[in-house]
Amino acid sequence: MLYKINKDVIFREEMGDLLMLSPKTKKLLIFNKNVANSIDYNNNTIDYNNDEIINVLKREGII
Amino acid sequence: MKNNYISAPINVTMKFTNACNLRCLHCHSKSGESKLNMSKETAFNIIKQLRENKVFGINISGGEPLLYPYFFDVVEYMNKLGIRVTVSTNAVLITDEIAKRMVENQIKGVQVSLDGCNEEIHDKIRNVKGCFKKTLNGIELLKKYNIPIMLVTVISNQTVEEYSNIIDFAYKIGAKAHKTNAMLPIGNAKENMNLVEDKFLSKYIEIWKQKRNKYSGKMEIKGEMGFLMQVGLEYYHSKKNPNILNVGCPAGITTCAILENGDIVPCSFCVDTVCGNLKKNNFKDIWDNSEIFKKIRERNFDVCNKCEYNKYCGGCRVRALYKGNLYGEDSYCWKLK
Repeated sequence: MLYKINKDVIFREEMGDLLMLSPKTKKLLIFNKNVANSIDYNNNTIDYNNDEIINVLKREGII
Repeated sequence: MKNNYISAPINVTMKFTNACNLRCLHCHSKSGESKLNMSKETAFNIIKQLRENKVFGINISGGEPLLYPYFFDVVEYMNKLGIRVTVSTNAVLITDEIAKRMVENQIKGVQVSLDGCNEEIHDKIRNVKGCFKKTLNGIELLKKYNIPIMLVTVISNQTVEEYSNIIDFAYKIGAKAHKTNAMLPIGNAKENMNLVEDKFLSKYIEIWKQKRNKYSGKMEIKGEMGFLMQVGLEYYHSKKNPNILNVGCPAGITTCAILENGDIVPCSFCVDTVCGNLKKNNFKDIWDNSEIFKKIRERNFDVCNKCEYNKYCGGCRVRALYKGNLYGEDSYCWKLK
């Protein structure tokens, strides 16, 4: 599934990890390279199918 | 060590003012001697640059941050840009109104310094009579507005008897965490205090480990990296952690600090090691091109460069500098004891 990332989210990929700051809780979330590889930085989208991860991203207001 | 270079820090410490209402014997920045404030325009410009470089968090330190005339202006601006904001304060100046505004501006945590559980010890180290009571009052107000509190204690020979009590006290007052800072030989500490002797240090470490077990699941028992490097690798390195959290000393790698005059330094304690100035260059230029940052990231330090844990540790650069060489050995590291 393709999801749009909230425009206020600060995120970047570093050392193989994906770092995202939750706009709701301001927690720094760190995901592994599988999630990092699913990001389209040009369009600010994430194409990922793991329900557990997607639920976290929704809960934290990232998508 | 190419792996230790990331595009921008994760967190940055910003010191907007060097003014302070206390005169702590161990203050690393000699705060209070001058009252230099960063201009509002410069502050906003730097914060904007940090956001453009995708810095996630800013810890506002000092000096005493609440003496900065534009404190809530910068906090509001950081919030507007989506940055996580925390504050390090002595809590003396916190009023009901200030605590309320902190909540309204989504300050996610406040670090409060406490060196004793009674006014005799705390006031002696903080060097202002009556500050203990005012700090406790500030803590009560933070609690009233449910702002997460982390009590911070700098270990020194003066507080060894109190250390255990302070951690219990932190739990009693509902702190979310207690953090132990090593006493680093810079600023006032270099002139006023002796470094903790080995016989006392082992006692601190023993107590720290005991409290870590005692409060497991109830209150986080933390240590600043310089202290953890004296405790043992297992306390700051885990194979379960993401790579980015396994760099040991974060200075110049995942963090840096910005001083009230615009200087960038590797960490908030490494105040004499200037990597650039934000009035002359932009943040990204300095982060990418400072020779000091580059050399720190190489991790080619004396002794450390022969250590199997170099990649995960790197020693404390402030302590190395104290011995005369920023890139020298950290003789206080757990492995050299």
